[in-house]
This record gives sequence, C-alpha cells and structure tokens, in this order.
Amino acid sequence: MPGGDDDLFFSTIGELNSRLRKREISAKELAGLFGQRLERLGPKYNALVLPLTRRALQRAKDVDGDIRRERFRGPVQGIPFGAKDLLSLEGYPTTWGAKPYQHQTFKETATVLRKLEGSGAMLIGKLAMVELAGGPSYRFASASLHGPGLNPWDTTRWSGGSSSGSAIAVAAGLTVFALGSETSGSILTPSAFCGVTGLRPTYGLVSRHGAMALSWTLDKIGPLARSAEDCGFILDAISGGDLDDPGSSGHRFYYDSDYDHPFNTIRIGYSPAGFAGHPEPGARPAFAAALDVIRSLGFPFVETKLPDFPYGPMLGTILGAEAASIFEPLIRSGGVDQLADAHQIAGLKASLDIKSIDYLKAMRIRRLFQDSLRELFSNCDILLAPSRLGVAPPVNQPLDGPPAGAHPSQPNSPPNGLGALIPAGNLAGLPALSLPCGFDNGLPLAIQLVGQPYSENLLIHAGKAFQKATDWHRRRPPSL
Amino acid sequence: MKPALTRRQLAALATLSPLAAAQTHNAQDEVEQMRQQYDRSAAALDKVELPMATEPAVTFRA
Repeated sequence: MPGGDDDLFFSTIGELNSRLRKREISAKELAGLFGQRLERLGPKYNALVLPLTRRALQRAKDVDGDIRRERFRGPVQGIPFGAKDLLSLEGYPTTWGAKPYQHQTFKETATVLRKLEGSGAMLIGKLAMVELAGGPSYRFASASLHGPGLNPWDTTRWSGGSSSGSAIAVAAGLTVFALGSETSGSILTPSAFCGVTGLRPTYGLVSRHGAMALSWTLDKIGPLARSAEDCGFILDAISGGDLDDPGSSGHRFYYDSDYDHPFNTIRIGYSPAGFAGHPEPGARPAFAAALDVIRSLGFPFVETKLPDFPYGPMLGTILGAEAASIFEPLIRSGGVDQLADAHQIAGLKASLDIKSIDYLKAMRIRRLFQDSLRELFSNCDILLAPSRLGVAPPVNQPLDGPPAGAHPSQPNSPPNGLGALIPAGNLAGLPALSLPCGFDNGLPLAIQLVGQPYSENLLIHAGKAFQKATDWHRRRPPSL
Repeated sequence: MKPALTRRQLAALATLSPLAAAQTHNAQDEVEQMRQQYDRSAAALDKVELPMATEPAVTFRA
C-alpha cells in the first residue's frame, strides 16, 4: 500500500484522480487512509459526527472495479469526502447538530449524496455543524451538539460555522472535499476562517432534497475544497434539477475547464474602503496584496457599492419567519430548550411572533433589491470583497458583538460599500467563491468573488487565475 | 399592553428554587430582547418605500 504521506492528504481532486487512473493508488486505499485519519484527528477538532469508513471501503471495491474496466465516471470517482450532518443518509443518524434530533434517522438519502456516490465519490464521514445550521442566530461557537468547531490553524480559535466540520475536515486533510450548506454565510465564513476554498452555488442549482430546511428561500448546498477547480468538479457532480426540491431551478452546471474569457474583459467591482478601511488592521496588508495580484492579472477594476437596502433586517425577518414555521413543533413542544445556545433558543421562541405583514414586506423589498442588481451588474461582472473582515475569533468569544471595522457610533451596522455582501448575495441567490488570500498572525484570510446567477464558470475561471498566481490555497496548518 | 409574564408563568416561578427562577427570568428576558430585535427590523423595513405593484420575491431571475 502506498504510504499515507502527508502530501497525499492535501492533494486536489485532479491530482488524486490522475493517480487513480494510473493505478498508482486504489479507491480502497484512499478510503482506508482518509477514513483512518478522519477518525483519528476529527474528534480533536470536534469535526466528526459519524465515521463511515467501513461503508466506504465496501463501496470502494465497486469503484476500483469500474476504474479497472476503464469506466470513468468523472473527476470525483474514487475521492473520499465528508458531508455536513444535515444531509440524510438512509439508515444512519442525521443529527442536524442538535440534541433534540440526535437519534433521528431517515429512509432516504439526500439527492446530493446519491449523486456524488453515483459518480463514484466515497462518503467517509458525517461532519459536525452548528445546531440547526445556526438559525436564526447564535451567540457562542459552542452552539452544537458536538462542541465548538476548533480551527486546525489554531485550536484556541473558532472554525467558523455553520459548516464547521466541513471546513475543518478539508483544512486538516481529513477529507479531500466536503459538502456544506449556506443560508447566510455558512459556507463562506468557515471556508475563510479555515483557509479552504468554498463555493456557494446559485440558489436552486443544487437540490436540497434530504437536507434540513432552515429557510426555504435562502438555503443552498455547496462544496468546500482545496481549489476553485475542485469546486467546479464537485458542483458539476451535484447540480441539476430535482422534482423533490420545490426550490430547484432545473438548471444544471457543466464545469468548463477550458472557459477562457480574456481577463481584460471581466470587470471587477470593488469598494476601496472595503479593503483598506473596514477590515481589521492586521488583515489589511493581505487584502491589499490580493488586490494587487488580481490587478496584475489584467482584470479592469471599477468602484462600486451595493444599493441602499436594509439587508440585515430583511434577512433576519425572512430567515426568522421561515425558521419559525419550520421549527414550530420543536419550539411549542419545549424541545427547543435542549439546544446548547441560550441566544438561539430565545431567537427561535421570539421568531414565532414575527408578523406575516413584516415577512411579506421583507420579501417585497427583496424583490426591489433583486431588480436593482441589473443596474449593479451592468457596470461590472464580478463583485470582489473580503470574505470576512478579519481572522477567526477566539473560540469562547461571543459572536454577536460589533463586526470588525464597524463605525464606533454605529457598532451593529455593517460598513457600506460591499460590506453587506454576504446577506445581500444570499438574499439575491447569487453564487460566491471564497479564496484564501493570506494570513494575519498565522490565521487565514480570504476574499470572495460574487457573480450573477449561474455565473459559476466565470467565478471559477477568475478563481483559478488567482490561485495560479498565489499558493495560499495550498498552505496547510503547521502542525499537519 | 401585554404583561411580561402570564399568571400561569408567575405561579410556576413561585414554586421554583431561587436559582432556577433567576435562570427562567433571564431566559424570558432574552426572548423579550429578541422580540425587540425583530421589532427593530420591522421598523427598518417600514422605512423603505414600496410601490404597490411590487410582488414578493419567490423566484430568482437568471
């Protein structure tokens, strides 16, 4: 058996796929090596919920058989991966990260898991998450049945959430990629804090059948991986229409590895203050350097800002009302009191009192905002901003304090420009790609590229160019 | 005006230990704070001028 050398655990999908096809390594060996590593190191970071190594090893036999017969099913064939524990797997517990659901099982497997396994990818574990994907809000990183997600770059820091285990697993080389979900920031934030590449797909592009619902009009499922290209491979495998998901758009994504738009025709919209003024001081040099790299690639820059809408109140009202409707039985039965985070319990209880008129008002303003994006994207093709304004916070620090860089006189309002890009992008269902872009005090930082609906190939094209010019995405935690 | 606690809740509190009662009260406070936060959100939404023909966003346009 080839040695489990550390480089193997930090290989990309493309690199491993090439080795599988050349028979330098087998799917069974990969499942065994990654499975053992996930079981050994996953608990150290509170990342692992359910090991599935034995199951993966059984499936690996078929994958190896297919490869031997040259039945190639795509780049993810034979690749070990993990899934956020809000995705159902027939016959196994799916906890949603929350004590009231710790023993629940489902009779069906989530569409995305069926698709990946149909392409020959091997699920080696269910991964930890913030309870109920953090809805509607939470105060502490410990808001999880499995404890706070600990950052592989520094275990005194938080991994980010709510796809905490997914980001940790990729950052620590426990899985080659992982599936996460985002309602507002739950892929981008842990990707940024853990130094991995994360893709939030266009709303409706990936089926959510078999996934926990938190907010029907906001939930998306997407990959966390080692590179922009790997995200393209994974999205290609999981996208597509699904009659079992009422939010499915019916669109399918085909990853175009030869997508070759000249950089000088792709206009980057950005806010200078978003890079120089709003981020934490220690993060600014890395963000400035990232801007320089992108400029040097030939992308034209235009200054831009989001139209003036109350993004936070809009998102909070919609998410709160939809979560209240979904979890009403949990709240009214008192089961909600078993959750770990008192702030989250209070938020769920209070959300029952959101008025229908306020929900509809938020949804109508959301329509105005979506209409206004036509003008925004007439001036640029990609919006560029820091994914988060600073590094991962200490694991015990309350998460609902003023955002870094907020103006002292308005501590809870996001900075203007593109400062509200995470809630805005989610409200409009826009795709986003988070790319590691440097470090502050040994902790990762990242930028996000946001495009129009179904512009994932454009974002990946730009992301690949950035990652060709830098090596931040190939860095790994010093202890690993 | 809505009372902070119902009579039933007050009766339940009277039978609790002082520590449990304090925790219950804190939890009630936190729920009330969250309600106020939702009210503040509603007030912020009220400031947006909405043309009557604007329908809620239930689909997303590519």
